[in-house]
Amino acid sequence: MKKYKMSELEIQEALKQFPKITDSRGKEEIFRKVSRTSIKRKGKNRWMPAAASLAAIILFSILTSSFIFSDQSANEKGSSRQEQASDVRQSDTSGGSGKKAAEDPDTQVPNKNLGNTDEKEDEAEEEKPVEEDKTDDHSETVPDKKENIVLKAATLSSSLVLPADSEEHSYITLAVPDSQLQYIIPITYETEKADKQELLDVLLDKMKTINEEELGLMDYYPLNLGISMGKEEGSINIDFTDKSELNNLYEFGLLMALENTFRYQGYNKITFSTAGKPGIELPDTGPITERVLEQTPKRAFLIYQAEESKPKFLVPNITASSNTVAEAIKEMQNFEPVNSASPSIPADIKIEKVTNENGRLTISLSKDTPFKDDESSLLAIEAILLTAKDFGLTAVLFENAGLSAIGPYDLTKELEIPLAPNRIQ
Amino acid sequence: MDSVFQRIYENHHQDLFQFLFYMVNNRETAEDLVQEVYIRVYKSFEQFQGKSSEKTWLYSIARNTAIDHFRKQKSWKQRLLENFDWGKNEIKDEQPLPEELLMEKEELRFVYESLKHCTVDQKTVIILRYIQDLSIIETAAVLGWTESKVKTTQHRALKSLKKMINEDTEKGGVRIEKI
Repeated sequence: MKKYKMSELEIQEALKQFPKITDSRGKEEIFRKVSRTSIKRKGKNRWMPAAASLAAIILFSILTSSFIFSDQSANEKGSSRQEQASDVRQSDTSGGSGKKAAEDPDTQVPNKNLGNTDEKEDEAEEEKPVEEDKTDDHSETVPDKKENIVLKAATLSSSLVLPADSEEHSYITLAVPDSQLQYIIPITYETEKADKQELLDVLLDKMKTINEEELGLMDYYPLNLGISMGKEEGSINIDFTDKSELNNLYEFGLLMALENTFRYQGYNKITFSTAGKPGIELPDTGPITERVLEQTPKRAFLIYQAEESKPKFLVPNITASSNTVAEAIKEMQNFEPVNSASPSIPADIKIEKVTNENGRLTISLSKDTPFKDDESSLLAIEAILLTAKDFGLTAVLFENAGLSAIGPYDLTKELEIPLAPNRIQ
Repeated sequence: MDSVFQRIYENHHQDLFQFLFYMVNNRETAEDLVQEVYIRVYKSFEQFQGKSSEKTWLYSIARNTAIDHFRKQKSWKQRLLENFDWGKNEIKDEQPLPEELLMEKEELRFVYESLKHCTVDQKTVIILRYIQDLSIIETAAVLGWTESKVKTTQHRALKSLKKMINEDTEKGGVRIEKI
């Protein structure tokens, strides 16, 4: 056997001599195959939501059948529904505005916990018939319902940081691009109460330790940039110590990631420097010394999920900004699913009116299509709250919500604007 | 015929096909995957908006398509092989040498076989840099990495190729299967 001692240079030369490999199929044949596959998939996809809805209805029917049979009259059903809703709110209030629920280890990754809900509900249901066998007295079944509702409230938890949460903790938000650089996903982490400098240190540390791929996102951080507090109050400075670093990152993606990260941190301006000297020459933008962070970028929030096994996130549509909040709400419902992003407001919820008065957004739903006590309604509400924040609004009120409460939100009152999205442990 | 398809086909099809072929070492799989690239392009073309070069954007889609293929392949292989004490090399070496390489010098064939044993990232960088002739900057854009990460990976890949070739030939040659 002939022996080879190839140097790295020889290997490089050999690689350059690799033969050209060509696709021998004709253009028409490939186009036909691509079109056929696309059509097949479209057909398949059309049935998927219907099948999933049907499965959900069947599951829901099984889970709730014992309640329905135990209720004698329609009136009783109505009042018990009210009771359920107010109990959700009460149980949440007693649990610390849903924050406790978010701290539940089962709900570490928000919005991905319906599987747990089902499991817990199953357990609750399994226990229930034994007790029902003991007595026919309806008053005996009420505590069981409450138990079930408490479980539901505990698992249907919020992923937003609400103003009340900031009393005990501080938060950092890191905006991470998706693998196609089409979306920037703001991810929020809870940390101990800290001042701005300490929070910046925590953020820089998080850039080193975040496992983006686990979340279904691009392995993007850390950035080889000098990031420090700016000279002016409320500004952050980005220093390109090595100018060639610019060539390594998509300029658009980099600016988006920086803007979205530092806006949530409460900064209002990014200043740029090159090896300590003010200003940087960006390939597309040209020379730039600073960039003001628009506090109300007016974007619609959508749902982003890289794949089924990854968590769902609420993300701004960075490629389009809306003129009015009503337009944004429309976009959130009519958005054509693409690249792992999908509408945040379910198509079956009919919004009759969107009004914006004195900083308060009022969304009137049709009486026939109220919210349901489920994940998609909770996500819709949270996406609307984040969109309202993007428009600089201060409160959101839902009319004809159909529920008095969902997750930590009391739907009978005005809802406060959240501080940050996508909180994970 | 669709104008987007037409343009991408004319400008990039053979490059993407060759890239996928060297990634998966199989003509039929490369044919399927290049079709998948078009489907993914259709899904996201509206959002592309020319923020990166079309070439690097297409390569990044092709790379993701290949990675998804490896993931799927890995999962069934893992299921099948988990309980067997089979050498990893044997699992990877299942593809016969393509006919384009049969007539080439033996050194080339050794390098081709050794490349299969590199990590997916190392293999991607080597293919993009030396076979597809992309610059460091372009490769970084395709992978969404920093330039220095590309350089480090390239360096490690060449080092590990050298080690594999020299060790394997000493042991009696890189295993080359012919059709």
